[in-house]
Amino acid sequence: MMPNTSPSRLLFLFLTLFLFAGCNTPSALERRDRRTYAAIQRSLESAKEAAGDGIVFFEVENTSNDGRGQKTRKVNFAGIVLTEEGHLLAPFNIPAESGTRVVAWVGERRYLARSVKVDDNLGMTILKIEPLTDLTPISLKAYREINIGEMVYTVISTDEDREFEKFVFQAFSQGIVQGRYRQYSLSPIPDIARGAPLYDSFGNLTGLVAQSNAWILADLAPDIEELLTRALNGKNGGDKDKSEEGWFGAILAPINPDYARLADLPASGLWLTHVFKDSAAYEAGFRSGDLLIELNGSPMRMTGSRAYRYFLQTLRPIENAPFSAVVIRDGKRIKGKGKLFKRPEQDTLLADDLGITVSEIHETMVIRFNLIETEGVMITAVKSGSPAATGRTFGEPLLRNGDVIVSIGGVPTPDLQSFGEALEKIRKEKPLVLLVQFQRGATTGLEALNLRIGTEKGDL
Amino acid sequence: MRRLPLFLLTILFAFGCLQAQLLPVAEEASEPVIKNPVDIPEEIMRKVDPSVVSIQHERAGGTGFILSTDGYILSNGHVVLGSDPEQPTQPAKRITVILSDERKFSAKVLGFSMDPDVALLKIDAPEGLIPVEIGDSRNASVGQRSFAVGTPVGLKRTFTSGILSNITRTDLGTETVVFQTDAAINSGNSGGPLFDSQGRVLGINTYASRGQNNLGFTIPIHVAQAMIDDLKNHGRFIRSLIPLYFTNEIYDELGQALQVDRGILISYVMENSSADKMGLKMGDILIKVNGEEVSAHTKAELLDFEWEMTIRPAGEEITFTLLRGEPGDREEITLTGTLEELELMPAFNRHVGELPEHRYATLGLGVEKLTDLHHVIHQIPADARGVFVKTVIEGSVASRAEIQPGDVIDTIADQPVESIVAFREILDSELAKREKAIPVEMIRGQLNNISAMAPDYLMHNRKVILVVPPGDNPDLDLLRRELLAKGATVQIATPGKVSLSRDDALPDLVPDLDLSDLNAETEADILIFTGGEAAKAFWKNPDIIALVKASLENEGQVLACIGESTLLPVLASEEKLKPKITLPRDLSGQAVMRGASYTGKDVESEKMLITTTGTDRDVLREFLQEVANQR
Repeated sequence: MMPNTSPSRLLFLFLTLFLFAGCNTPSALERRDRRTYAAIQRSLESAKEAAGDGIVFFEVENTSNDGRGQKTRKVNFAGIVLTEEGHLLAPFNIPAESGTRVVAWVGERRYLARSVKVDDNLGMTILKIEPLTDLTPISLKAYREINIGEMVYTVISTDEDREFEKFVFQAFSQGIVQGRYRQYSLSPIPDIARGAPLYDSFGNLTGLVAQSNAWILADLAPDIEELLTRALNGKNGGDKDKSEEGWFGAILAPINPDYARLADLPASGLWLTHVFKDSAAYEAGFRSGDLLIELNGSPMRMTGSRAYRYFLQTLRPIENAPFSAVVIRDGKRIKGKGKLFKRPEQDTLLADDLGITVSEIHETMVIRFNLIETEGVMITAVKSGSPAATGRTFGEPLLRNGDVIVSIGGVPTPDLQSFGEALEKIRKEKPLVLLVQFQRGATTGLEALNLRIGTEKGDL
Repeated sequence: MRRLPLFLLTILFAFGCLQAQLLPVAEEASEPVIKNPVDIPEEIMRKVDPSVVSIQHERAGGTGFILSTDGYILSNGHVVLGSDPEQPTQPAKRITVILSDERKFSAKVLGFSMDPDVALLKIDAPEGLIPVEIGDSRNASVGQRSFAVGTPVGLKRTFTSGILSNITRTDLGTETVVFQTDAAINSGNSGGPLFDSQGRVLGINTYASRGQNNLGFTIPIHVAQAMIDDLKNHGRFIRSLIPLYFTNEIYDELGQALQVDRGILISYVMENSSADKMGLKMGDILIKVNGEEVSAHTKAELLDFEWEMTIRPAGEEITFTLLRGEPGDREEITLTGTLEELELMPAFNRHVGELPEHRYATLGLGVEKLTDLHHVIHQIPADARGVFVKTVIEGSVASRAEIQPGDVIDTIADQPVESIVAFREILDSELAKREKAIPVEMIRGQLNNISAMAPDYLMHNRKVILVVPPGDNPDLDLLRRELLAKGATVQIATPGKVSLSRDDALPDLVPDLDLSDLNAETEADILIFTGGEAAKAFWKNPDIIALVKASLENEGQVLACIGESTLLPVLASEEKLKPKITLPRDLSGQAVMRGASYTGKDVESEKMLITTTGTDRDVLREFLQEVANQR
């Protein structure tokens, strides 16, 4: 985009210089200083003008109780208006939680805002206010990438306490921090400006202020647009909508750079250390041991934990989101594509008479908990004071979280349904004691629960 | 004069108390007589006092007691435990035993165990040692009066008394039952005796419950007695068992559910173990051992049963009679097996472990043998083979390769690692080739990871000759592997090129050079003379002295000496040795007499001469770092 230099501005500049020149006879140095000063003034004005009423001053109050009394933490930062109807963009994860109150000052009006959509990978939240009149959004469609060394300007609005004064901060770009969302490394800008729009000298939008850096809008804008679309189409009142989360279905580990050099592999790959059988990754043809080197059309970047972040930010893990990837297997490139699945959820069952909650075992749990026995149900909770919790020694329950029950009362329980059936049988027969066979870590175990414990019948 | 009224008052007060105490007893003469707590007679105190000793060493100390007139002393394992994580079975180095008459003797630890927490020490029998009398701890009873003697929190000789509060304590996670007493037990009491009212030892005081009052714990003396022979003859307590099965006591509910009223439940049998091969199955109920009935209704009974099995001699044949089958339909079967010596244990619970760690500090990686117990403790897949990663130093080569403690390394440089020996051979050979990156495959839980270690090779292109006296060289293995990991070219020279034994069943090293091959013309950037008693033979060897002299005069060569070898540069210089040196303390006199500047530091480095006392691994590694820094 071309710099915004209209003929009227040039004329104004010319007249100003002419008038100053006419008053006295300044030195060349003074003349240069004045020109610089005037140019900066113009840039500040352009930034203010471009931001208009599209900037937001947020005040987030978080009240928590740590047992010694209530504590309130207040944070101020900036944001922008995204729609006329009152969708705002805040540069933090602000889940809709009790104890969190978000106040948004737009212009000179104070609104309570609610969280509509949080995006962990962007680290941003769409909030909604209910304005009485249409707002003036800042369009993210037009932006310009700046060069290293260029001056940039950011504008923040304030609240009633500061008489709604607008402040402008100036910085210059010092370099680029690479990543899926690249950032300008900036000379220091106060923290309060985080989330505010960033303009070049001519009032062109170029980024959003981040912590000590600024996001480059060219990388970020499409994903913010997509997040906004989801916020507009999604269910009301959602925050971090788990039901939307997409699942690739693999355990990933960044390739070690020394190994990559040794094996002549790309230094920015991610190992698919384990691919789950009922996953999108498996259906797309990927297998445990593959090395992922390209995702959604671009080669993987970054090393170490940043590679994993890059992967998530590029994948945009939303249910049904399409993906394509290239892996290396036995020296060959293998392409695959598909749509992300919904993250699997396990059914659970509360066996109150025993004092345990059990879950069916999914492959993800086998890996996560390193389960040796998979034909059973895993205990996810043991209720204190129950038969399962009351062992021979206080604090040492008979059954523990993570135990995999393989049979109760001599009836095998390879899955949740058979466990439920066995439990029904027990409820009918009402035995006084119940033999439970389980796997705990590497070893097997047998314990007998006293089913009268925890009942009101007493007489143990 | 001024004391008299106070004295009278005391008498009157005591008389009053006596009356008050006597009266109720007189009135209730027909009821069971409750004896008043009486003072422990002075002769008992006098009897036990000389048998209790104080134990001190470089890190801490505790208490102990004399077992025999020839100088055997019992204490706790944790009192004498050393500080070398790579050799967890090593006791503290400089142990002093202080007798009740304040005579001091240096002591040797013959063996120790952390659970049961028992150590056997020996001092060179001086005259007049008075051993304790051993009591009958198997027949101890709750409520029995007991008193402890020890040196709590560094205080000299302290007597505290109480009763036995519990004699079947099982909930501390110990391998045997322990006694509990309300006699005050504090740190420093550890290892001291708990006596009965007759001054006979009931047990070894070991832990106190921190932050609680009057909860002291004591290892029953019969437990310690069963370990003494092993500690004396093998340097460690040897457990015998049929590996590897676990048992459970048959408590009320379990008995009802299983429809049995006696026996011991077999709750786990490791696949392919000796127990598995013997025919044991999970769910079996053990009712007889060698024809004698066995049963455990409580945890204490189970621990007693397990302990009695553990202290049988390995190699003994054993017959189990078991009930097998569904409740109500069980058959009696008999199985025969042979008790085996339990393999060296990894660290878990109270055990610090018995396995030596093979640590390449330069790489930041320490591994130990993968045992069956590792599989159980760390949930390692049954088919995993390799070495167990015990240590990864933060920021090191191993940590950059994302190796984590608890991993099992199963492949190095694309070669399977079946044992510690294989691991060492492959790694050493890769290091000797100075491979830029050494691929490593690890098993972590159920996942396989692949990575590569890229050593820094700070001593690349440096030729090192290790001059080693014949015989055992405790430092040789460490020196060689750290030098290799630093990228040096290492050659070993020893008299007659005899093979050099290493610890831990590693194959002997075949030296590269005979000492006679070495002379002033030998090309080497660094000459290292190792230490040890055998190094004293170098002092009188004119060829060695000439070699050291040439090295001192050679400005391009680093001369480095460890322990006993540090006297070599002093002996080789005709005039006063110019660079400052350090030496083991007992050699410092000789050095100073010959005019050397002795600093006493762990490592000294000046003008291409590096010397070290070489007293432990850390010091040797600091020495090697200094060697590596020389250019």
